[in-house]
Amino acid sequence: MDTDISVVNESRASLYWWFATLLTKELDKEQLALYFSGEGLQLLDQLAEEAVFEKPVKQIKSALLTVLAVKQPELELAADFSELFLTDAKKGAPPYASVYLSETGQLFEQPHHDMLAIFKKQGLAVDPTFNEPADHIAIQLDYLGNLIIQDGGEVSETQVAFIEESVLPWLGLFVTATTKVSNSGFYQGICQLMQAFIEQDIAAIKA
Amino acid sequence: MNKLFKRFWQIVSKPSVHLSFGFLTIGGFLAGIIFWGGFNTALEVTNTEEFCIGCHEMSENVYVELQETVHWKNSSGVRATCPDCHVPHNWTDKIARKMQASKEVWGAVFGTIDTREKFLDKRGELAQHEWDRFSANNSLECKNCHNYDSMDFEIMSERAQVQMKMAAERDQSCVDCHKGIAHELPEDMESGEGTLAKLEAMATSGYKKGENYYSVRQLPLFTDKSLATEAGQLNAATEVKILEVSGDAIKVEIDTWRKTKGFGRVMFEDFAMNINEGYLTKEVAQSDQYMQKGETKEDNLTGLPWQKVSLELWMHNKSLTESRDTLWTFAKTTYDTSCSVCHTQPAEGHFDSNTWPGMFNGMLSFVNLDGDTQALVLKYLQKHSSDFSDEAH
Amino acid sequence: MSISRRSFLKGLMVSSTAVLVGPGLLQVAEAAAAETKGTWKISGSHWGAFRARVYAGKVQEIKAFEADKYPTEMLNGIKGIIYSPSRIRYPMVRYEWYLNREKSDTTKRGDNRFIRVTWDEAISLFHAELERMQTQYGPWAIHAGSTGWRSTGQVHSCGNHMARAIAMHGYTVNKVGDYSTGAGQTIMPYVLGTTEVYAQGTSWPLILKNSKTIVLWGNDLVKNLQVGWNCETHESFEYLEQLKEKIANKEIRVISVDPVVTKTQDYLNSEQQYINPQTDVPFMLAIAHTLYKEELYDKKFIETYALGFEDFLPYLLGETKDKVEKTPEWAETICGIKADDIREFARSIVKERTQIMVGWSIQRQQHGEQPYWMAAVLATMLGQIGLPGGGISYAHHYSSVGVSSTGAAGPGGFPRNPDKPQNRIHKNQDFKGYSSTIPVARWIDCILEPGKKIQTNGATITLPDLKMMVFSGCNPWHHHQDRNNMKKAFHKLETVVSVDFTWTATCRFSDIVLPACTQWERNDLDLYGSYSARGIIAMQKLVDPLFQSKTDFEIFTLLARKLGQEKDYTRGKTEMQWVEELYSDCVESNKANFPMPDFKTFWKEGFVDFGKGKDWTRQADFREDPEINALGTPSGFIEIFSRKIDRYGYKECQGHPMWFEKSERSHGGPGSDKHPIWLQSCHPNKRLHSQMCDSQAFRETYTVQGREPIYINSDDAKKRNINDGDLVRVFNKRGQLLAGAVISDNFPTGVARIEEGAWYAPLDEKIGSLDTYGDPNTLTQDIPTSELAQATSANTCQVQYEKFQGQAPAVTAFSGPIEAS
Repeated sequence: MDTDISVVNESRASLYWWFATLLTKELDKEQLALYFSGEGLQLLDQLAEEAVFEKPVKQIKSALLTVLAVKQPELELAADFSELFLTDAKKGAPPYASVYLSETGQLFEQPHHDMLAIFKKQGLAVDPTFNEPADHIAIQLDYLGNLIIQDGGEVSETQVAFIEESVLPWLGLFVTATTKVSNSGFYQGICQLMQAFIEQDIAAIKA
Repeated sequence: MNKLFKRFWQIVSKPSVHLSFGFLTIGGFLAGIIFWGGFNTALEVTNTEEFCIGCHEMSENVYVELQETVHWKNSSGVRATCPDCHVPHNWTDKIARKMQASKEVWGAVFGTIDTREKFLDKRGELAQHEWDRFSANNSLECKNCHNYDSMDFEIMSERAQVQMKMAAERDQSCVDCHKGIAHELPEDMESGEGTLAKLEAMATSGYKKGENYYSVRQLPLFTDKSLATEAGQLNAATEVKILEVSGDAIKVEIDTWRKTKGFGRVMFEDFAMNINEGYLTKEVAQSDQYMQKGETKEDNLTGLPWQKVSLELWMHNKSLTESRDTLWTFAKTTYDTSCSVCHTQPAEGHFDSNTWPGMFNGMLSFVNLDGDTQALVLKYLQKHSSDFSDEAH
Repeated sequence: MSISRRSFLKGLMVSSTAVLVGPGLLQVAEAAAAETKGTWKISGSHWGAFRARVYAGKVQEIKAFEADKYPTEMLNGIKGIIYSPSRIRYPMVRYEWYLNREKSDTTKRGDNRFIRVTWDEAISLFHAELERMQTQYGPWAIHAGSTGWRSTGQVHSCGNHMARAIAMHGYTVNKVGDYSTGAGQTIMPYVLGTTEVYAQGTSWPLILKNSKTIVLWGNDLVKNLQVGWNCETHESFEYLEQLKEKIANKEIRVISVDPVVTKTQDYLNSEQQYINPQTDVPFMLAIAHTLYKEELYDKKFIETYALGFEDFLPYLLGETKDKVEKTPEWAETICGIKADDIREFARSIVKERTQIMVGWSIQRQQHGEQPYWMAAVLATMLGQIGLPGGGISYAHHYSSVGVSSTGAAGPGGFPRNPDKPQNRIHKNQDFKGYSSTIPVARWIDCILEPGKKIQTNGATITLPDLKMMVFSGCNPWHHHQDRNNMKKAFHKLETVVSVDFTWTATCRFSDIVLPACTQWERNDLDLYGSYSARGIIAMQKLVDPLFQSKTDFEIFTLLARKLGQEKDYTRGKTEMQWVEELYSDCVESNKANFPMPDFKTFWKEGFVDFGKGKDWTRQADFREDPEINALGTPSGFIEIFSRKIDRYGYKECQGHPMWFEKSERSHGGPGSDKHPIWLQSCHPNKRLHSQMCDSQAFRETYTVQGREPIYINSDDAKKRNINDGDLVRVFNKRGQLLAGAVISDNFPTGVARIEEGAWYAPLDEKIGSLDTYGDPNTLTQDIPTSELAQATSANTCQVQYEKFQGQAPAVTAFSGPIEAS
């Protein structure tokens, strides 16, 4: 076991989980505060040190500044979240692979079943309190984080295959869909950051 | 980092704790099979009246009672024996019945009904058993002799016609109405179960001459003290004044209104209000013998002539009550529950008494109310309609 | 594979992410039974019963229940309802309202951002608003009585749940009547003694055996019998098939009196008597005139069974105020039928046994009471009421009326009324002089003109000052008229709450939106055959409630919990215990005549069959003995003249049926110079009202360029340079919409059809904005039928249309809450 890799994997996993968290539900007041002055801001600044992440981080920060101007910024971001992820494909960017990869463009299509099949094999299930189709981006990222941790000191074929076969095929389409909605831009920034991160990650593995 | 790992472990280390439920009661099931086998062989032996009255519980109680009824002695000379009514004619049902009867045999052996008193105490339960069975097989044994299709409604009394046609249409179970036709009824119950029993339970007794009472349900009227000649039917919740009490019969006065277009058979509570008090046979309606005619007025809203009449007729000395309050409470509950299945039921005061019959008829397709309850609920609605309340629309 | 070269992560302090990461979304699965191809389950719907194959938690396949020999193709739309992109997935609150509550900018309703809230918060908000209304205003401020076609299932019947929970909190404004039959159900008790529109009709076998002529008056049986109030059996179609054969053999003549060639006419291959829209009464009067003048009518029947003929005659003969004799020549100029043809029609229907079957759409127009009343007068003159295959009916197109009733009892429902009304939290019943019950179609008037006094059905009511609306399984932004007027009214409302499973326009114009699950995500049971009572159908839950949706039972249990009355609400029973109880009660009611299996067996088998009922003739008992079996009219007889209505002194509904000119009418009528096309908005062929419009793939089987079809005449199209498949803009002074042209000569010139139930999809929230999908109620007028019924007049509507030029905006409906940006 490569302890270095094991440490890196922990970092990777926690970043995947961080994105999963952001795309699972709206930030509450306390969580949001961490991005104005706290661990959130710290993490963003650290990420921005990488050139490829600079632009999205800038957008995130400027969005944070925008919402800071309103009385209840967490509500403003909640409305943004809803506009983007809780509406349908016509208005927003539903965070489900089925929307982008199936012919009907509807939910619960093949990608959902593919995810269920993967979970079944692994003896896993989606937490019933998060009653979403299994091809929700947050569920995929959450699962990916677990895969990485499970790998410990290596990067398994399974992990790579999952990123390439289950995440990448729709990631770009999804992130592009977010850009057609105009609001504070916070989540659009997060999504772009996520895309850049995943693309970098897989490129690094493959390199 | 600890937190992240914990999260991981939450997923992979959670034990699956799903245990299956215990077995069903297999013991009880086996016992049933053994019992069945043993009883089957005795089947033919028990299938005679002789067997039935072989124990004194039967011969001294129900058998004696039967001898007082039309099923024992009648103009046609045909008599019903115990197994005609009580042992199902269908073979598979027969076995099921025998198995039930074994409980009664068992009762005889251990002496639970060995005196008349004990039998009377138990009668309700035993009778209920039989009624349930008739109910379940739609009074199959009765219908072996009495068939709806062979009934000539034309030679029945008018009241019987109305009731029997209704029953025939629904192929109703005979014992629904004709309980106590071959044996006495359980003491605490005048007739039947369900709504009829509920309504009957509201009746009082010991009616006093000169006092006014209300019918708890639809009741037959007669022209004579012997209650032999049908005069019509009194509607539920209708006021009568007692003129004479003579054993099982009472003579009553009914002050009522009728429309004189047609035969004038239908009785109404008040001038120009279609609140039904029952109806008369053509003979009675057309005869001066039973009624005193009062004023005649034209109802302005329909142009129909109305006449006040006072009738003197006979009826059974039962099924009356002092006040309509309990009847109304029952009717209101029924209306509130049965009639709100499809929609919010209109408030009682939303319509006047002449509009309610039309509105109520429109609702009946979707509710399951028997004739007595329908009549009572409609009357309740009419008596609490906008004609009688100041409640705003 | 090595990742040590991955420079981009170097130096990153991931420990900071620990506080930023929330709980995981996965857990170890419970060992599940191995599924091969899935499980077949049974359920019901307004469209009929079906079996569904469920695999991997998803409904995969649907096939009609074997007992249904004539299933509707709409079963193909069921899956699309469950997995519709329009599903409401979470409790949502209009953002602006969330921030400012009753002071919110209500002009933004319909074009606003929503935020997701937890169930807890949603119920708290709902409760707080009810509380505020009761304390700040009073019971008159809340209207929680508007109900619609709901989903089927007797335990979860959404209106019952809403009514029970809200009544446990306090009193509210309620409604009387409905949009389907408002005028008919109000006038008919005066005339024939019951609503007629919801009454069982003469059994089809008796009609097929005895009728020589069947007149379908504005009545499209084949289209409308596809759906039922309870689970539909489609047994009527067996008889329609026989009727088709009898028509082919010339044993029965069927005449459809209708401006358009109906689906029924197409199917039966029967005759049509064309008539100008909205002119049924002149035609009927002229028939009556002919029957009278030629002494063809049944005098004896009228003498025995009817009242007021002599009071009606002067009007017919032109001896009253208008001095117009209602001759066929007079009628011809209005209804477009040649005088001689009218006479011939009259003679033909009186000659032999004639069954008149009236549809409902002719009473959904201004003065809609009149054609219903006049049709009854005609039937009375024919003298065949109460004879098998004769007389008149107003419901043979509805829920399999005419399929004989078994007489079995169906399951009851979840109780609508509180068990302990004395425990109501707010006991205030002071409506401050406002009326507590309003005619259903007048609620927008209440909001716009509170305090106004209007006449209705013999009473004067004062319109309450509504501040809060609560809807459950009800979509008034489909069934009410005049969208732009509704927008105005909604500016005045403080709070609107909707419970639904799909983002209807009503939800989009609401402040609090609660996600119910569909009827296939819960356990329930239903009567199979609304009128035939053919059996009981189990509604087995196909899949668990999607997303955060909940059953109606759960939703209103949560509200009751807030009131501290959860136990009183549920009676301590679970959903499944309720299903079992309703079933057991049903077993009890039926035990004398219809033995039923125990609950376990029923649930496993999924169905109880009561068999076929006995044939029955409507009003036969009245014909046999009109005295004892009197009608429910004031006199007990058929009332050709109603002194009672006459006394009301109404202008637009007087003592006997009359012809009144409409505010808008085609073919030379008022308003037809500017807006020459009569817009018919009848019940849809491929939906149940607005239900199933959200079923995407199924909708696409009939839309034109993604828009609701408008059916138009080829000459009318040519004149406007419109080709089949073009987009057209339909408009009048009330509004405008986009629709897709379907050219069909089933529709005469001057007539167009857009089926009601097409979802409202305005470009934005502004008054007058273009409806991008094609909801006909964008164009209809919100006027009452008359002072009597105060019912909807949707079919009194003139429009103009033109080819749409330019870039068509996208359809804004069938998605989440956010409209335009």
